Formats: sequence, structure tokens, C-alpha cells
Amino acid sequence: MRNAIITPLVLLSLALSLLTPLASADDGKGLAIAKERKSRDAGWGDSESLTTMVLRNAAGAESKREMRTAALEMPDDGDKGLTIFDEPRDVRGTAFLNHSHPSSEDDQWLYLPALKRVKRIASRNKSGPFMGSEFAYEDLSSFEIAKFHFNYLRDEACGDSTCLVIEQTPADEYSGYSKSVVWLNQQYYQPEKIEFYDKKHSLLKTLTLQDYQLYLDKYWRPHKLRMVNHQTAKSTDLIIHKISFNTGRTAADFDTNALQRAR
Amino acid sequence: MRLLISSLAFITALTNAAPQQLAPVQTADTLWKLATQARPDEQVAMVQVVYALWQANPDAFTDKNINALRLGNQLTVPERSQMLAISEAKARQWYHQAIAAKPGRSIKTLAQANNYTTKNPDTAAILPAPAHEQTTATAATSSTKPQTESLANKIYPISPVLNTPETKPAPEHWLSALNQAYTLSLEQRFYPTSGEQGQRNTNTSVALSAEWVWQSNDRAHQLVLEPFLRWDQTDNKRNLIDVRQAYWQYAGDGFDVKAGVDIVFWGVTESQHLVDVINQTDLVATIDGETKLGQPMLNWNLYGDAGTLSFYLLPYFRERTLAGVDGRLRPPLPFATEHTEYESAQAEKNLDFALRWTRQFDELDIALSYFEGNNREPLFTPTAQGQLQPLYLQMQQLGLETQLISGSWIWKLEAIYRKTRQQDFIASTLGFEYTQVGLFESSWDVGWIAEYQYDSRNTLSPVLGQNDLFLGARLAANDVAGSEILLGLVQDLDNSDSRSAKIEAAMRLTSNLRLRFDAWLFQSQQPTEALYFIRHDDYLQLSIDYYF
Repeated sequence: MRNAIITPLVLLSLALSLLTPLASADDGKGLAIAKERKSRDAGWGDSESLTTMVLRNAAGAESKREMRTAALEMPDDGDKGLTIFDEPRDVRGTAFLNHSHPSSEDDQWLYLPALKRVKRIASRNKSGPFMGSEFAYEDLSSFEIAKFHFNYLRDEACGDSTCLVIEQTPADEYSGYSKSVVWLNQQYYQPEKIEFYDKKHSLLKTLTLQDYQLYLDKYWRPHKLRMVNHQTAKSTDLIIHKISFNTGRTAADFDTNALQRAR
Repeated sequence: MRLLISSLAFITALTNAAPQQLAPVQTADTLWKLATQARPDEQVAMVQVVYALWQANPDAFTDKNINALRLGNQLTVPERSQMLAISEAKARQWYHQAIAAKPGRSIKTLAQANNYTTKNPDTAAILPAPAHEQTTATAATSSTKPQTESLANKIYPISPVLNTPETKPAPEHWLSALNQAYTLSLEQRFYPTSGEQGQRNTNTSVALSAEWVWQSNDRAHQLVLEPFLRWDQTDNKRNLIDVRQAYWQYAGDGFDVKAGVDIVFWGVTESQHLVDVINQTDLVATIDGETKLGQPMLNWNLYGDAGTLSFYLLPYFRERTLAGVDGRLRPPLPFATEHTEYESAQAEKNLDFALRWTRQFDELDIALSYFEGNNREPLFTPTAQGQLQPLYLQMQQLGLETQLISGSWIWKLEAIYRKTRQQDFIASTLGFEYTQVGLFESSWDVGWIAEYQYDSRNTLSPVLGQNDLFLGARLAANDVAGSEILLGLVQDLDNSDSRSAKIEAAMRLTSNLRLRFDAWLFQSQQPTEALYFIRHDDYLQLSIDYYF
């Protein structure tokens, strides 16, 4: 009796699994997943965090970066971010202001403390290394739907849970990547791993995101991000020590006037 | 009344001091229902009781799922203090997630979370696992055992964790109340040729600066103090005690006000800064004029949709630093800085003022400014004693700054109209900066800069940048050492043999040390040119900056 029930189910699932590769690869599922990811993370408002970056070269020699970051969610635009560098000491007091935009180029400014100068910088090239690390500027910008084309690849076990594996192709021709593959936790819709492929389609870097913690009962934030460059054997750990939400920051804290005051 | 409640609570707490047991679990029982019986008083939240019950009775639940209470078990009621060990907020957060774990598939999820709790020292610190796992959890908390890196072992914690996973204590606040930073710089210059007036070939100088910044918690008030000291081996006119910043600033809603000494930068171009007139130039520091002296000021900035409007009242004037008799990079006649003259009867106490409006239109930035007061640039009149006497005239200046960003290009324009008793003129800098990243597939970036410098004053007056072209390249290695090189050349378009060139290179040695190399080259054949006086003052400079 039991077998009689199971067999049709097995057959059905077999038929489905055979059918899947024949159907078009995605049918908008990748985009739907990306939208779900974005919507689950909406509404966090503003935050402040303290971050350490540990840069490792191929021989394992380490170098450290310390910075403070404030971020503001813009409901109808990309997020705004302000980063103040504390270490290494020669760049101490340098501040970086970024207004990201989903479908146009970001607005970026640097505050140079030696000259007390606010300097607007060209933002087209986002593939450059951030502070000499394995993170590129584009790796650290906010996740926006308009920045990518999405393609759902498969479900895959990751740890004890299941991940949705999504291929993301950057919409911006000035991205340093041909594509990236994201392992998104099916339960939390947060990335666990991202593989970045260079313009020649070979694997360049792998990012693993760990120590996810829950804030405001809704928002998961990773506290340890490790980027490994497979082509140079260099790696960077980005460790977030502390995140605070509802810090009372407004758009006025993210303009060039505030950048001049940023300490 | 309040006293009565709290004393009642105290008595209840006392009566509950000894561990109690609840009746065996019945079919109709839920953990919440049992918790209402176990709750000692109203000051303990229900969720705290639920959490403590779950924690104290790990075997009363199937797979430790709070929704899967086992029949017939007798639950031990923990002490009141144990219930209060977890904050209500954290208990509530835990509870909402725990009840969401439905029997069946989700039981495993909760079990996983518990496993994670024991693995993750931080989770353990806030939400101890059920009693029998307590020892392992404590052990994990005290050890700094590195976490397993592999993706396979990573599981989401089901509970919020507010602790931090670092090995050293991290700063508690975004900005510590008082920030302090110190810089000690040692500079060694070498001039290949002896000075025109027999000055030395080598020179050492030392500079020390400190910066103290205090900010109120709401970031509205800010106090900044930056004293600067410089000692020079040969030229006592290069010795300097300065206050670069010493101000209080208040930032309100749509405005800020500042009172004290500060340095204000105006401008967009790279090769020269025509519009930038608030601060006096510390010319003996660097020949490029980029080092400034602190300027006493009252400053209001108003922000709005129409841009930013800034007002400056400048009650005290700073004289330009000029080389002494033993110093290099000066005209043949020495400066008589002790006999400085002013057009204004108030001399350095003349009340100068300035205003500036800036606005950003997407890719386009525009600024208009007006300045009235002591000209920052002195005129020199030869005296009977064979010296050059600095004279500061009154001036009015209109300034324009625009820049347009287009992809990797930034187009820049600065222009001034300046009027003094002696003359009026127009000067301008127009050019671009083009950024190329990943040069030759490396991590090197290069910024190409080309700027044309124009000045309407006649070519016989000794000013730089009358009809000159600046070409520059800023190279950044984007490496761990933050290595960068700036190459620049200013070519006079009227005199093909008149030019200056510079190299600025820097790299980080350690987190606290930066090494700099600078070289300047001056060429001129025309005695009427400003460059002519310093044509034998080419120099190389090696500097070390120590940050502490």
C-alpha cells in the first residue's frame, strides 16, 4: 500500500526533473528571487558600523585597515554611504562619500584632510581595488536590482540548508566582472558565497559571508566577509565589529557639507 | 502603591527561591500555559519565564523544540534570578523565532540553531543553550578558538547576537569623544647647485603637528585644535609656530556656524588654485603653494535646494611666509618682512569678508565667490637698503569654479577677476582629468591631467601661469603600501625654454610611517620671469612622516 503511493510521486518528480532542463533556464525566476532578496532587506533605514580589513598577500603577510561607515537607505534611489578611514594612519581622516544610483553612475567625493579639500571623483571605474584590498569598489556598493541581469541556475545544498544559486551579469559595461555566481540561502535570502569571474570568464575571486546576525528582528548582516583572489593568492578579511541601526542620520549627514565636518 | 508591589514581588521572589516542580504535562498544556503557573510576579516577562523553562528542562521537549512538549514530564521551575538573566527584548526575539519553528521540518531548524549556539561563542554569551549544554557553551565563550571557515559548517543563528567576534576590544562608539592624532615629519633637502647668494646645498627641517577633535554625541558640536610647529636648520624664516585649526562648529538643520581658526579650500583644478583666497599660503613650506596658514574667521553656511551659501568674516590677516637671507627659492634681494606695509589703515586687522555660493546640478558643479579685503598675494617694492618690502593692497575678487563629470572625464574651469588699486586682471585655469584604471591589466590607476593657465597681466610682470600648459600624471599602485607618483610639467607657451617640473612619490612603510620623495626642476632664460630667480634652486627632498 505504501509503495503504491510513493511510486507515482517518484515518477512525477522524475518527470519534472527531466522536464526542467528542457524548459528555458530561468523564466524570470532569477529576477523574482533577486526582488525577494531586495524586498526582504528593505526598510532598515540607517546604520553605522565599525570595520577592520585584514589584507593578506600570497606569503601570508598581513596589513590592517580600520574604518567607520555610515549608511542611509534611500527608498527610491541607491543607498548613501560615508566612510571615514582611521588606519593606516597616513590616510587617517580621509573620508569617502558615495551616493549610489541603481541605473546611473554613482556620485562620489573624497575629503582630503591635508588640504581640507572636498574633491569630486569620477565613479565610472568601479573595478579598482578598495584601499589596496581584494575588494573592489563595486563589491562594496549596495545591492540594486537594476545593476544586474539575473539567471536562476539551480538549488544546491549548502551546509545544512539549501541555497538558491543565481548567476548575475553586471548591467554596467565598466564592471570588472563578466559575471558572478551567488549562493543565496533559501531561508534567509542572504548570500553565503559569491564567485566573481573576470572579463576573460575565468574565476577571479570567491567571497564567503559568515557570522550572520539579526538586527531589528528582520535584517541579517554578515560580520565576516572573506575575499580570496584565486589568481594572485591574496585575500582580504572584512570584519564588521559593530553595527547600530536607528542612529538618527538623515540625508543631511550624507552631503558634501557634512563630508567637510566628518571626523 | 509602587512600594507595595515591589515588596510583594520581593516576597514572591523569596518564596520562589527554592526550585519548584510543575504538575506533569497534560495533553492540553502548552509551554505558555505552564509558564503562567511558573511566573513568579509581573515584573518577570512571560517570554523570560518561557525561555528559562525551556533552558532548565532540555529533556521536556522533542528535539528541544518549544512547540513539541513531551507528555508526562515534570518541568522544573528555575529561580526568578535565572529568568531575569536574559533581557526581555532578547527573550521576546528568541520566542518569536522559536514558536515559528513548526513541528516536523522546522524542529530540525531549531535543533540546528542550538548546535550553532554551542559552536558560536558569541551566541552562547547571550543566549545560553539548555542546561546540559551549558558547560560546552561556557567553554566556547572563554576560548578564542577560530571558527570553522568552510561554508558547509556555517549555519544561521536563529537568535540575535549583539556581541562582536573580534579578538581585540573594538571601539564602542562610532566616534570616541576625543580623537587625537600626531604627526612628526622629517625632511631632508638636497640642492645640486649652490644658491645664487651662496646658500647651502643641504637642509634639514622637522615639523610636528597635533590634532585634537571633540564631537558631541549628536555630532552637532565640534571642537578642533591643530597646532603646527616647524624648525629649519638654516633659514630661521622657515621656523613657524602656527595654529591651523582652532574652532568651534555647530551644525544645525540646514546650516552650520563656525568660529575660530580654520583652513578653507575653494577650487577644482590641480595645477594652481586661483579662486582659493581665504587662507594665506605658507610659501616656504612647499613651493607649489598648497600648504596654508590658519585663518581666523566667523563662518556661516546655509544649505538648501538652491545650493549652499557661505559667508565669511575674516578679522585678522596672516602674512605670507617668505624665505630669509639664508633660505633658497627666493629672489636675489632679501625680503624685508619686518617692514611689511598695507594699503588698509587697519593693516592686518582689516575686516575682510567673502561669500560663496555652490550648487550641484547632477554632473555639473558650479561655484561663484566674492572676496574683499587684504590681497593674499603681496607686491614687493625695492627699498633703499636693497631689500624687497612686502606690500598688501586691498582687493576685490570675483571667482568662478565649474566642473563637469562625464564618465572617466572631469572637465574643470576656474576663473577670477581681481581688482586692486594698481591693476585689474583676469586669470583662468581650464583643463581636464581623465582616469584610467587597471593600466596594462595591473592594479595601477593613472589620472591624466592637462590644464591651460591664462593670466591677462602683461608678460613683463613676474607672475607664473600667464600662458602656460600643465601636463600631469597621477599614478596609484593600489597596493598595500598605497604607493603613488605624481609627475607634473608646466611649460611656458611664450618662452620655449621656460618650464618647471616636479615629481612627488610616496609609499607607506608601516601603518605609522610614510616615505615621501619630491623633486623640483626649474628652467628659465628670461630675467623678467619669476622662474628666473629660482632657476638654480632645483632640489630633491626625502621625507619621513611618523604618525602616532
